[in-house]
Amino acid sequence: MKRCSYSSSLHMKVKRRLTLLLVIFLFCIGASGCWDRVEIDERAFVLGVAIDLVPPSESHIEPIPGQVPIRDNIYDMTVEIPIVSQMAGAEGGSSEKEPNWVISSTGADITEISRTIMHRANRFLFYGHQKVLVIGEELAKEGIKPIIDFFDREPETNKRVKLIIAERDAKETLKITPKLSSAASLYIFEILEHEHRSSRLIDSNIGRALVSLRESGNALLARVRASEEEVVVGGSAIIKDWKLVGWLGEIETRAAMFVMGEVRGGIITIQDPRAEGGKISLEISSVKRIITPYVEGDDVTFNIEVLIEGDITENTGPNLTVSRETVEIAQERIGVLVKEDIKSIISKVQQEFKADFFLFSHLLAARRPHDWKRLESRWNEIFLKVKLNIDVRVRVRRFGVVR
Amino acid sequence: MVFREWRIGGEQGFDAALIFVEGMVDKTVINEEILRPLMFEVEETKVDKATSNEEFYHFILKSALSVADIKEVEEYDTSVFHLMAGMVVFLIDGFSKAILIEAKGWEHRGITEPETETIIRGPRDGFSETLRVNTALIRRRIRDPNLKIETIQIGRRTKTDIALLYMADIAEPKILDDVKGRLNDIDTDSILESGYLEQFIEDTWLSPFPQVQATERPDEVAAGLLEGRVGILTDNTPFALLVPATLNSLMQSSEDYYQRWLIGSFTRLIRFFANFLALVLPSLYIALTSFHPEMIPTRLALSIAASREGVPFPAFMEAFIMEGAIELLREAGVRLPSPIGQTVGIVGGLIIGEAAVSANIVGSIMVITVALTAISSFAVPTYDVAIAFRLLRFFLMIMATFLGLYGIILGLMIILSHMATLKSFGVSYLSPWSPFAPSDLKDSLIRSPIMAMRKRPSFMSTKDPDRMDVNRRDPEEKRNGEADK
Repeated sequence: MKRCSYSSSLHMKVKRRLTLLLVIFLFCIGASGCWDRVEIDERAFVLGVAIDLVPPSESHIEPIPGQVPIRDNIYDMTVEIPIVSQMAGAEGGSSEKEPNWVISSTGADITEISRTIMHRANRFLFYGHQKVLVIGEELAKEGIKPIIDFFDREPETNKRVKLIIAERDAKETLKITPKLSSAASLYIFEILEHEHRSSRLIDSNIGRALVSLRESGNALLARVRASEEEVVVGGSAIIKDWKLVGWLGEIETRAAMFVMGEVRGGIITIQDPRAEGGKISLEISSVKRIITPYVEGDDVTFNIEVLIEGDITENTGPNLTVSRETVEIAQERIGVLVKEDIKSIISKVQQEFKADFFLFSHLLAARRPHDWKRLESRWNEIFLKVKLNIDVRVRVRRFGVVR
Repeated sequence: MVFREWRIGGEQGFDAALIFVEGMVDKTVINEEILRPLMFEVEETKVDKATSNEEFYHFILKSALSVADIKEVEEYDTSVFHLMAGMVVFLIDGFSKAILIEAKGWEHRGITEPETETIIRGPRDGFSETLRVNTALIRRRIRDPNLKIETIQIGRRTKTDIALLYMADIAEPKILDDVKGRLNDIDTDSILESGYLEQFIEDTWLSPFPQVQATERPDEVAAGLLEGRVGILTDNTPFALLVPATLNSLMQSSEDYYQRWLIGSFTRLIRFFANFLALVLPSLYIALTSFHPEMIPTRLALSIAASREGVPFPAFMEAFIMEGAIELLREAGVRLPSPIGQTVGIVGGLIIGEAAVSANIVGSIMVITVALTAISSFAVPTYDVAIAFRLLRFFLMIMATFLGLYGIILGLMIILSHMATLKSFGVSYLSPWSPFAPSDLKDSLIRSPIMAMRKRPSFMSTKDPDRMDVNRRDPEEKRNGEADK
């Protein structure tokens, strides 16, 4: 009998516990819910977004009566959405139709346009796989701050989205049909991912660009130009106080990246020191940048040491083999070349654009916090007078194989 | 039941009877070794010569029967019990005792290769249904007088023989007493399979996890005994039980120790990985496609979306349909005779899968997920564990349906904390990971070289903790040392 009563109390206990668990479980489901569940095939994957400014003369939006008109700028947003049913593997897919849908709409802010497009596209716009955000030249000159906010705030967008400034209209870049990629956005994204092969374009992740933009309003962003079938990604756009103020060419961009310590590869070509017409090309394999600030009163000096290591990939001079002397001369000449590039970019930035996108301010704040506190308020003026001692050293590690 | 009556020792002799159960005794033993001597060799003279009846009885008992095992009983119940177990009862008129003669013999299956735990390298013999054959298989592996085999009967009606095996100088007495106590506490009318025993003696019957290891392999039981565990053999089933069981021990195959350690470790890692896949893969599919498509690489996300284009069901329905179908196939395959079972596998697996994709009922990625899950769950060596995790897979799928990735993590935490609270005969189910015993990790996710495992598992608190001389030198080192001289 004792056994029996023991087991029945055990059953009661277990039952009560199970009921409790069930209740907790139901609460869990009810409280957190599954309303943000959207099936993958009900989403429209936005691969790229291009935003342009609609010229004031062309905007037709009537002010709503009785409401204070807040609409000063009208934006034209273009998104690229892959049509998954056209993709290989899907039923009834054919290669003849356009694989992507490039759709534009206008409005006063990004959220509004996003909703407009959503209503036209019968799917949820999903920014989780966005690859690029291209901003048109006109809009960039007006200021990119109101545009960026949506993408910064939106939890779906990731920080690897490339923030790019287009020469002329941004929407044109998404309209091209790349040969090897399935979408224009993927094409531009992949070019930028291979930035380190040449260091002539800047890999401007929105996450990293925003650090610099939020700090000072200045940043160096990638530049893109659309043609019929291709885009040219190269050089960079200079953003000062969230506004586009000018462009840097490809060599200038590389020089700027040397200063920022972001060069990871690329080719430097010089005349063969031994004979006319010959050339020697060095492929950069590693770059080390050491930068040291010195502060004396209001005089700020930066010592920039750039150590380049690389391989000789081409040698079109008369001698097949490369002698020790040639290597030494080549090393020196490459060093001088890089040094000149760096000098000219720094003077251009100091004199023409008058903005610190090299983030020298960060460096000073980290290394000389006391001096930085003192100089912080006047940094924009002091930056223009910053002196730089540049020292470039080159070392050739490999000469290639000659058969 | 056969009653054979005759008169022993001629005219002046006694009436005698042999009673036995047809089919459970060896007829040749009865004919040649019992009836023949009693009928023809016990002559009248023997009866005459005997000075008393007692003396005659003793003569019969001591000298007339050429059978190895005989005993006298006085109680009626005992003799009936032994009669049911296959003994021959010999009664002589005028004596209030029965002579029990061991002449057991029945048709039984021979020793065959175990079907549930096949291995590539290792012994091919498996337990069969006869208890004595099974104990002999263990005894042949461990010729140590410290191997104790205790037999008890459980089951009011079935009176099933249960053999308790342990190494007297290794097994921890507390565990042993615990096992004995639980076995003696069983009060039921029948034990038809060791699964009955397992459910009676396990610690937590609410858990999906097996807390007793069932195996068909005598080498597995022998290895367990040498680790200080207790084996329980049940008559009429080839499945032996080993206690205490830990998750770690259930994930091991005896082959791990027969292969070289690198290979053994590799297969073990694969097994753990496969188990994990079998547990979470379908729920991951649900969570990622319906809640977190940003976590899938872009191109894969697009191709999943493409494969789901036109599928009318949400991802969780898709997953439940396919997982349900595969469980159905598995169950049907087990129940059907093996040649038909294979056909069902092919028809179900290939044709239905292919047709379901082309009919747009499920996406092709889902079919891959389901197939991978099914294969992974078959990589788990113990069937009981595999099926426990298979059950939990559906729990995780429900969690993923409602809560996405968060639900999966929550579900895994629930499962893990449940496992951490489980105990099998006083040993934590997650040993040696929890409680953490670094020295026992040698034989967990990886299987260390045999020379490195000099001690028995510490969580078993064995009486004799050393497998080999702890201070002994490595044989390779020793050989090299000798070569240098």
